[in-house]
Amino acid sequence: MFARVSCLAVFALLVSGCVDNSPTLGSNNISYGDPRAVETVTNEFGSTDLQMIAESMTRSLAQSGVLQGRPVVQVYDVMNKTSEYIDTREITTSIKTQLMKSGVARFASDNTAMQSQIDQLKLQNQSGLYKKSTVAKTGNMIAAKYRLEGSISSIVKRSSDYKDVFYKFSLQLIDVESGLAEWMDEKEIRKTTER
Amino acid sequence: MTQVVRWRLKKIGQTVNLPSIGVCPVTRLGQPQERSLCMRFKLIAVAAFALLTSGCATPPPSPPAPGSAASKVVAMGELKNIAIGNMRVARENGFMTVGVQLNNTDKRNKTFYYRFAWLSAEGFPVADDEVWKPQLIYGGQNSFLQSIAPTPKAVDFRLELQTP
Repeated sequence: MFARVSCLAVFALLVSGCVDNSPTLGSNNISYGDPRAVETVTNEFGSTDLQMIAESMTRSLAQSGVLQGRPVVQVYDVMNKTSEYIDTREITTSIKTQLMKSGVARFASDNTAMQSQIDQLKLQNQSGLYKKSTVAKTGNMIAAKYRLEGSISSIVKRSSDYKDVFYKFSLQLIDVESGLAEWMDEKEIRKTTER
Repeated sequence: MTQVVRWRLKKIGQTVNLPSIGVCPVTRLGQPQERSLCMRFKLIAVAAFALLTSGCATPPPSPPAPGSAASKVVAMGELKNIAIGNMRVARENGFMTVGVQLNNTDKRNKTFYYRFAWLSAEGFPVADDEVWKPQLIYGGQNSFLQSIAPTPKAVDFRLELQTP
């Protein structure tokens, strides 16, 4: 009797585990992961490297005290001096986003967005389509006080047992008028694969 | 010396042999049902004894005092061979900066993962989660983790640590 009751209890427990009320649709072999997790799928440039670089550079620049009074900064593309493909624009976009959120700087239209900016100004002023009082006038764009530029390079060494990749990202803030570098920092990352 | 209890469950409802606990009385006629019932009571008694003695186990450690260095550390699981030392908090150019001393109490090199969470006065985050950062600490090394808050609004922090 006791054995039958325990059998029934175990069966009930097993069956209750099959009830699934999660709001998901699809198969179980696809899942969302943590975008902040440490990614070590390969030793090429990865998401963790991008995030660590952007975070480190942003915090260092924001806390340095150089950016007094929310100056206007022009961001240039980061030069990729490595042998692999790296979307360096994403590094600068992350840096810009974090600096904007910290409230220490404002950004002028960079070289990629400048054409859109010019097109919009021309459209508003020359097409005759817009109400004069709402049109953005040409000749009022704010020039950048500083420019931000950098580069990323890598050193790759291989042996029978190891592949070692050393990344070095450097960023500098240059005063446009004087040409002086007001701030500079670098971030080094080493990734090693043991075969 | 602990005795190893060897179970030999032939079929549900039949006799369970527990030679280390003792032999259940057998009637003159050797009724298997009575022996089986006796064994079940012994099982229940052992289970009850185990439950009672587990309550005598070491009580959990008391929570760290508020404002202490230990109260700022959130360990994801047990921190193996990493000891937290002094912490230094400062405000430079409007941004909170934190320095934490760590010591590897093991002789072997160790990789751990850390990130800081920046909080307002009420204890809620003022910025998005940071990326988890891997850090190598050599055997016996005293090293420092330093970080700067992402925004001047941060007034408190937590250090999240995970040792694989």
